Amino acid sequence: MSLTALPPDRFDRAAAAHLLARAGFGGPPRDIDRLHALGLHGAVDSLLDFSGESIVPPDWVVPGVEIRHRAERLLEHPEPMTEDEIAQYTTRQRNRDLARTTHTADWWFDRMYLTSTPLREKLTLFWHGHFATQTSKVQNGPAMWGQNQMFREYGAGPFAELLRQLCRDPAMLRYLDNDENRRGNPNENFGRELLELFTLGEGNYTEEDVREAARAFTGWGIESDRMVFARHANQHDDGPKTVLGASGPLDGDDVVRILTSRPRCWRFLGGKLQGFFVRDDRDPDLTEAIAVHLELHDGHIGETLRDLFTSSEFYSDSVRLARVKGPVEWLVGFLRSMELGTPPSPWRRDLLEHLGQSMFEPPNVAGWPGGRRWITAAALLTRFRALADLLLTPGLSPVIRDDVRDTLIRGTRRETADALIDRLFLPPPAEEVRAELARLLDPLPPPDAWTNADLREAISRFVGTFHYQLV
Amino acid sequence: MHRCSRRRLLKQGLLGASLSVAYPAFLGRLVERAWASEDPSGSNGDFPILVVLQLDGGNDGLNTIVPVEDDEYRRVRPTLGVDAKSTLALGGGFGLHPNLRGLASLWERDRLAIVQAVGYPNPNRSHFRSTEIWHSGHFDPLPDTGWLGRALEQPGGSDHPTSGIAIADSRPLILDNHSLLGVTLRDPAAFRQPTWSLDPESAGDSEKLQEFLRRVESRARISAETVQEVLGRGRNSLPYPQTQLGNELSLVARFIAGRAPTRVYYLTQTGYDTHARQQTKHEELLQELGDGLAAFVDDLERNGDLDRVVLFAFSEFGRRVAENGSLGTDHGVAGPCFVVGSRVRSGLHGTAPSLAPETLLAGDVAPTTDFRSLYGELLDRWLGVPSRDVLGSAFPSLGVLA
Repeated sequence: MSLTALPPDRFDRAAAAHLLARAGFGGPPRDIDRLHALGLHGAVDSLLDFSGESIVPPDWVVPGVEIRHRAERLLEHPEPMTEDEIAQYTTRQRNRDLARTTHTADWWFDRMYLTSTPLREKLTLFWHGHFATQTSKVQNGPAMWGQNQMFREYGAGPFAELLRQLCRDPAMLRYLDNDENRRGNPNENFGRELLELFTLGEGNYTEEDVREAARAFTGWGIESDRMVFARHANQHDDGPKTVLGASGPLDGDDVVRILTSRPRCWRFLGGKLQGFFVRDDRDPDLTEAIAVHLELHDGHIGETLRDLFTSSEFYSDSVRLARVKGPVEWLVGFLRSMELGTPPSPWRRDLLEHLGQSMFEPPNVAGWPGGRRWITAAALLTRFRALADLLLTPGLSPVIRDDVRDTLIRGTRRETADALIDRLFLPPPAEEVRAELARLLDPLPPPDAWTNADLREAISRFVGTFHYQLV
Repeated sequence: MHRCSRRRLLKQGLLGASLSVAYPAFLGRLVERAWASEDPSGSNGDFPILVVLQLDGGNDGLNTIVPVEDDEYRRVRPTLGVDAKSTLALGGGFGLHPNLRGLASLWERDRLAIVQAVGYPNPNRSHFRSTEIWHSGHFDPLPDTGWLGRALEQPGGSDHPTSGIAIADSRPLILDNHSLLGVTLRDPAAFRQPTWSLDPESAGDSEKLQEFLRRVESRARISAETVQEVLGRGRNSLPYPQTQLGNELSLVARFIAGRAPTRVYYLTQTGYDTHARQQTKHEELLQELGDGLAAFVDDLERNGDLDRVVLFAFSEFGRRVAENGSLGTDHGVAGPCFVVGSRVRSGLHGTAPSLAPETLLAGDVAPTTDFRSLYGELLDRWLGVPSRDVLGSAFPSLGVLA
């Protein structure tokens, strides 16, 4: 059973808004208009076309930054150093690398806000959750940036190639201890998560498969003095192995081939894609349908998403507003729709931490559980108050441009409420929700008497509701 | 029953509605007082409290409760094995890891029960699946409630939204229940409500996800009031170690001292997934654990709360008996659990793990005690909630509680 194509004439403006919110981070009304004007296939093609925007790396990314502390120290300080000096030097380097992770998170957040290729960044966020890696263990900012950029480059292509890159990614190899996985007495950490969390899902392999996969990846590590992938032949076990019934002197690439030839892999990935792009409460039939398209396209992610984003399933009423926004997409989406720019880094970091989505610090290797699990009592109230804090705190609040303001303040309360709702809520909510939201403006003066503070209060109230948490 | 009427009120959103109109804070306090006076056990009463701590990642039980007289242990742990002479003697051929001095002090004061080789049949070595099994208390493939969450729903539980608290970033399964009782928070200072609110009565659309959010919101608003009030009253009587676990245990103790209407707490200590170069990391974790629990017990005792609190600590699995080639250990099966408090029968419980190769499950310690036996005892004999209703069947009690 495959996906059903949406008749192109059903691609109305609300559908375009839904597409922009799900495949990207939403945006101001003109972005929706532009997408709508392209028609269904033109709109989806434009989202999948990443050619119009080149990536300018963070300014500290220069050749050689992947060098590890010891080698770097010997290069900079060839003369002997005392132990104290070495300790001080190492602390300095570690702090610098940690700061570089923070810079990378800022750089990425800015990209999500500014990008003209939002699907590429949304997919990068998806893969960051799927191949979750914690910077607190990797402790190397350049390696985290390298992984992030790898997701950007390979994230919309064939899954098997992405997985081959992942198995060579220094941050991942370090994170799951594969740089210490050696012949004779293997370390199972990477092998297990590769099967359980990255390709097949729990219950679809045996413990023996885990042990054998771990053997296949022995010696797949990192150069001794640089965060660069290396295959250490003397640490690799080249004996016969059997993974999922396939036998031979398997190495890591063989295991990738075996895993990506299994329908199980496409079903697992189909479920993950559905959860991220379509609905929190996954529909097994839809997972199956996405898996069919993944198989059809040999695991090509972009081609599968093209089919998904042009399917009637993707636009059905039952999947509209069927996702809880993740904290990052919630914040980026708000800033984009109001064209506010990005808030100060410490404020953003602190907020995302409270909401449970620190960038480059997922809770564990399984990534963010997402969906309803975003909504704790504390996180919900924090979301309600946070954007009010941003809008109403002197020294923090971004400028609302006059041309934006002029589109929002109308003659009556209800017209003003509708203008605000149409800018903030993608896709546009039903009439009963509009009426419910409009009542939040009752305590405010009539719109023609609004000060800037009143406008900010009105926006705060609309986004400080549970309706705004859904997309 | 009053309880039923309160629950129905909540379901209909009336409590939330009254909270939200003009003076949510003021009315929130009114509602809370009403509940307190209505509650047969009384919010100020002596209801039993259970604190559940997960050693997240899979604790290496063999290096925690060390089999000091077992030659096989020396053989399979040539580099990671803990020196027998350094351990804190427990008797019976076992010793506590030297960094668990805090636990040893509890042991000496008869405040620590250790249950050996706890697990379940057909063990699963996935962190996430095994955590699901421990949290849900059953083996359904897609669990949607946890054993603590279900306990809150039973007669003898409580239906205050703050009857359970998880210190976490996302809602843990262990506290989930269909009535949405229990709240998750990490930083209580951030747990405040805004001045405006939608009217929860005007539920236009009953889409499940929207209804879920609406109900979480009304419970969150009540809980935010409760938490601020309780923390305004609750004080620690001594300083805690400056660690994450220390901070979180001190927060739980403040909730308890502040007479929160909370029956169950859940918190985690993360970092036990020690696949490589385990020794230093594991030593730090055990130090943090022992010192944290010792401070917690001392604090509760000075505040006069110790007799109403039991703490239960578990890990989703133990680790492989033999160390791996990177000075670490891979995922295993059975491991020890701890039960802490003045109402425990101090000592070693259960059957000690065997390391004899022919008894191992693919290289891992086989369980000798089903974790649901411990749950059953904590439910029946501590929380006063019939375990059969929570766990689906009855399990033999170990006699861990006095």
